[in-house]
Amino acid sequence: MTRPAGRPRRPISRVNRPVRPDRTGAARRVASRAAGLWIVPVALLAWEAATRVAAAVYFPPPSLIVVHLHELWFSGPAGRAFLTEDAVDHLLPSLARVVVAWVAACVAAVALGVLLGRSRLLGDVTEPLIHFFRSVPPPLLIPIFMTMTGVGTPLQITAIVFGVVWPVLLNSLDGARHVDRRYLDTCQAFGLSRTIRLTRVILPAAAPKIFAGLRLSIGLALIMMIISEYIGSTEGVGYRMLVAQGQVDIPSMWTAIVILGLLGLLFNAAFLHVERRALAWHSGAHDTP
Amino acid sequence: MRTGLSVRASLAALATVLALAACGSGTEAPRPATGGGLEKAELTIGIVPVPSSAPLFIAQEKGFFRQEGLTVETETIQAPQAVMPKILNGSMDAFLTSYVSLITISESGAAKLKMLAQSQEAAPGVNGVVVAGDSPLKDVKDLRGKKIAVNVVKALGEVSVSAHLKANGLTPGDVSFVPVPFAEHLTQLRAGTVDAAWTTEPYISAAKKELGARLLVDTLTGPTEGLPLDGWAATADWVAKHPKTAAAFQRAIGKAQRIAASDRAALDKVIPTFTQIPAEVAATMALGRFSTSLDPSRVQRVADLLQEFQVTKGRADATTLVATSPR
Repeated sequence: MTRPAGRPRRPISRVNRPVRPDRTGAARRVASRAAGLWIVPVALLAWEAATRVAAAVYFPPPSLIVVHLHELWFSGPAGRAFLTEDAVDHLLPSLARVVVAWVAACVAAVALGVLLGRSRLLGDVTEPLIHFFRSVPPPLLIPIFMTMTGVGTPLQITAIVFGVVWPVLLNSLDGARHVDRRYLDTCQAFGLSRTIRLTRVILPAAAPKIFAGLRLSIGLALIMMIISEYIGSTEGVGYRMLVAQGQVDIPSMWTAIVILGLLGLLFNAAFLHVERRALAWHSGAHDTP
Repeated sequence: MRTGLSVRASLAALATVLALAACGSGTEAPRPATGGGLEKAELTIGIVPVPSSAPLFIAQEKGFFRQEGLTVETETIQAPQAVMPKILNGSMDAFLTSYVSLITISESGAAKLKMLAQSQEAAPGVNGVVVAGDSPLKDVKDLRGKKIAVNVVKALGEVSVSAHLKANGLTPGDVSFVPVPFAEHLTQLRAGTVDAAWTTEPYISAAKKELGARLLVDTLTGPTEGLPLDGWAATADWVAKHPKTAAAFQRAIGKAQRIAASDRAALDKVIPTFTQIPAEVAATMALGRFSTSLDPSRVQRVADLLQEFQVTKGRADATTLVATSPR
């Protein structure tokens, strides 16, 4: 992957101009992407061949997984976007929960992180606590959450929020804490208001770190989406996986795995798209020590 | 250079996929026959730390396996589903399993399993739906619209509760079954997050003692009376390849079953040695009836219940799920 930060530093005078990748760079990137893509069909064919030769019960061939995936989730009527009843009952609630919980956790964590990061005292006091909670495996806490939230969606949302919030909080705190001294001195020299200082200087300066935390949290959110449905849930992709596991319904287990992988890919792509736009100003211009 | 890197990364990914695919293909090399005509003398048996495993420990202690020329190693498992790869590749010979798991696994096509010997069958007070002492629920009909905790969804809990719901004019759709591990049932009942919990001994005793809980439905009586519960199984392939070993194991465990069926003191003594159940609880808790025979027509009842409540798609034929009795 080409990271914008990896490109040679541009002269200071171009800092605020939107960065437009030059033509040869773009061409080279497309070529390198295409060169990498040949592996996809080859890997799929190799996977198919290997599973057919091995005939191992736990590794159904990908062609079977795809057929099963279609049957189980995407063979519904056109009026329902081809979603089956199973998909409507299990996939949609899971997706709704993971999106709501992720957004809520991220908004709260960024706000709190920036606040804590700008106060040395608060930051120093809370950081050990964050590290403490961050190290607690969330699955262990699900039964405890359940006594407070009851069974169902509130439990799943709590579990996802708890799983997601720590890396975002930590990165926001860190980003807000280490804003370049010179930026802040400049703010003071120009007599900028607190609001402007926060929205135009501190947040943008902390943004790269914040985004790094957000990106980590996407994977965590998907993992927590599944784990949170293993206990105290009556629907969802995780619940469906649990049932499939109990019935040793291996193709169904694999379809859930594939769906998760696809969701991860999709969410990450969407996030990168947003990140690239939000941090366009930052590409190659970042100059903090 | 970037192209080179991404190609290399892709190759690494390909290698991973291939390695993963290869993992599942382990096959066991045939072992030479050992003394006494046994195809295999050293067995690894999967046990679950619950009273149903007791006969194996009795057999071990009394030397019944040794008399048959068998050396038995035990390995603690949770359920056969979790160790299927081991069972399939032959690193586990036989294991304790519920009939529900045996039938669902066999019906799934992942493996054909056969019960070698039955361990327990239904008896009053062993499994049931408990509610907190102050719960307004008084009988089965009150469960309509309620949340019932079960340890595993689509298994014995759901099926046996459903049989009782049906006998009382309700359907499984009238309640919701919530997966919660047995160990958490008490906490959740106390917190009121579930209205009732389908649980088993010794959790029933603990709930009565600590929560003043009531047994609302005894799920191994009435429509589920005398239901066979669990036993020692192996894959059909294993039984076919090791007929003499299977028979020797059946004879040894059969002797222990007869002790377990008639001598409660022997059970009370052995249960605390391989479970978390303290001796004083073991001595007072309800136990299933330990079986001394295996009747396929009774096993068929389990299969029929599983099909009726849509745990399995088809109707399993019990005669194919049972190994022949030893001569």
